Amino acid sequence: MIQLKEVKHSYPRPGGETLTVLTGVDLTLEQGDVVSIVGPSGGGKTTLLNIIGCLLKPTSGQVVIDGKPIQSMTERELARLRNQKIGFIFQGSHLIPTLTVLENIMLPVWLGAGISARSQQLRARELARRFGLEDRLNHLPHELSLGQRRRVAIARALINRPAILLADEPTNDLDPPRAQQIADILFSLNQEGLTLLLVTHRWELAQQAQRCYETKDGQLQSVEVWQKENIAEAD
Amino acid sequence: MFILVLRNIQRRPFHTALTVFIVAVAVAALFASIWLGQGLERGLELGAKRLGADIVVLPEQIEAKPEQMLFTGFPLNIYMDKSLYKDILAIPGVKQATPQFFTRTAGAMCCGLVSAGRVVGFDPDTDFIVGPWMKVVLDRPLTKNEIIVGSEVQARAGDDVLVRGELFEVVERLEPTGTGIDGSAFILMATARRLAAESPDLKHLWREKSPDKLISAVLVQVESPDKVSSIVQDISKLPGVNAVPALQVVQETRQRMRTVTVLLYALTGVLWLVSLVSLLGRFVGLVVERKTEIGILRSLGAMRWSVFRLILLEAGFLALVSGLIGLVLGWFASRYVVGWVTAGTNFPFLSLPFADMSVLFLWCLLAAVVTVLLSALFPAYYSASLDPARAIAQGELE
Repeated sequence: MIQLKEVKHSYPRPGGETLTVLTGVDLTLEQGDVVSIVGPSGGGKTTLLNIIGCLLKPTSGQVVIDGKPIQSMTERELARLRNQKIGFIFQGSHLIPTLTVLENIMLPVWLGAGISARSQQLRARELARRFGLEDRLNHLPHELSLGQRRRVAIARALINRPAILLADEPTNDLDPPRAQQIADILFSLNQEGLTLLLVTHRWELAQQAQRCYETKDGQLQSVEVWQKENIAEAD
Repeated sequence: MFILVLRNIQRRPFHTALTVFIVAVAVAALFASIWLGQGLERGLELGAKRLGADIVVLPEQIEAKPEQMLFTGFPLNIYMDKSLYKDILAIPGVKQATPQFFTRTAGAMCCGLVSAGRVVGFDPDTDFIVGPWMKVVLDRPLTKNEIIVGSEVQARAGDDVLVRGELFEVVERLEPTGTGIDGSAFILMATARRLAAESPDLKHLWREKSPDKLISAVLVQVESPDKVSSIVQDISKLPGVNAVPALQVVQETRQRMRTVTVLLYALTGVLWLVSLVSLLGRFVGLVVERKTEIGILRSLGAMRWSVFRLILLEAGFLALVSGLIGLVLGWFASRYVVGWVTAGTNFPFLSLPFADMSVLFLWCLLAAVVTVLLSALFPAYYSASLDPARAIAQGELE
């Protein structure tokens, strides 16, 4: 479904220098996978998520989605992919401040072409109900708690029935009960067949995934390997 | 997509109000200055064309500027001896001349004729002034109880109006001229003299001479325009008269008016430029403020073109609404400005006809939309060119 081969990424810096955050990442995601990525801040987790989500093009390497390299896709194809195939949950929710809860959930529908907005509105209401937001539909983001905003962001990510959900620190800033509530929602979605890629610094969340990776020296290392190395070093 | 535009406008009331204010003021100024400029130009053109006389001769004791005599309802109840008419007619180079006798209505007149202040008595045998102003020239002489009214007088043909206690039938309403003629009414000179003679409040004027021996003005047409100056000099030699060369006054007035209108247009241009720059600043600020939002839209499937269109659509919609508000403001403001300018300068003003006014409305609206779109063009392009991930990251930092 999604395949990353030798993906590298550098950010330009003033003075012609570059900051390399990914030095060669290989990753394969299949339908229904749950993968988590942990690692220190600045380790390239969000960069990797942005590349998989087609928000950023890698400096080199290949990202293939459903057999097609994203580098060869047109802007329209990429936009359609982001709209239809990928659901994004950003760190900090990032809701549109001028739109109500219902309007925020409906946003990907409005941005996508050729979809019946009326049937999608029913789905938006259904999602809101599922995530306990039915009495907040006409509220603006600043009138919601952090947990509620996060749930709106999840509902928005799901409105177009994506195949993969990319979540960047989905439980960040939440107290443990709220964080667990969000984790339960995400894993229940996986139970329904959704592919889940989580970027988090919370080990208790990361370890619930089928596979867990850590970003180290710009690469992904399976957590089991890393743990073994640590143990060996300790010995 | 349009719902995003509406929500942005609706739920950012401060931003919206400020943008609307800037555009509305600029549009109001543009509309008012063009309307005023064109109205003055038209007033002068038509006033001069309809005046019909090359020289206006008035009693010497009138203390007024020449343009005040020509373009306002001035003077009233000031007279000279009627023998001067024959003296003027006898001056070489005078092609024709006609006397007029002015009086004024005593307070408001009834039966609809409320705004006429000056009643002009004209001589139908020599007149070459009133006839050409008529929409439809009467095919018979005016009778003693008939009246012709200016365009601002609230009476229509067929109405009966009361002037100094006497009923008159309105037979004609003149076309607008933008001058004092619009507020005047015209009757036969003999009737005007009789009304003036019988008016108790004017009796003190007739102690020395009866109204039958007096006139208020003589309007002169010369054989050749080159001779106006010399004929004015000849007329001025007559005792107790003040000769005003109409064409020269019109030209001088036009010169002064041009200065006023050029200044007005220049000020409007500067205001427009300031508006353009402040709008540019506003849209750049708005785009920087909404960087994260733009990144989110892109990440949710909006294309670059969609973001570009969104910003321009918002700008265009704001321009349209602000433009309409500005036009309404401009319309009301113009009425005050026109009153103020014409009162202060004696410039004749003639409003634009409906069709021209509609075109002016559309041009102002178009100017507002184009200006706002121009000022939003760069911010829209900048927003559209942002990478979604970069926009979100930068937006978070800013």
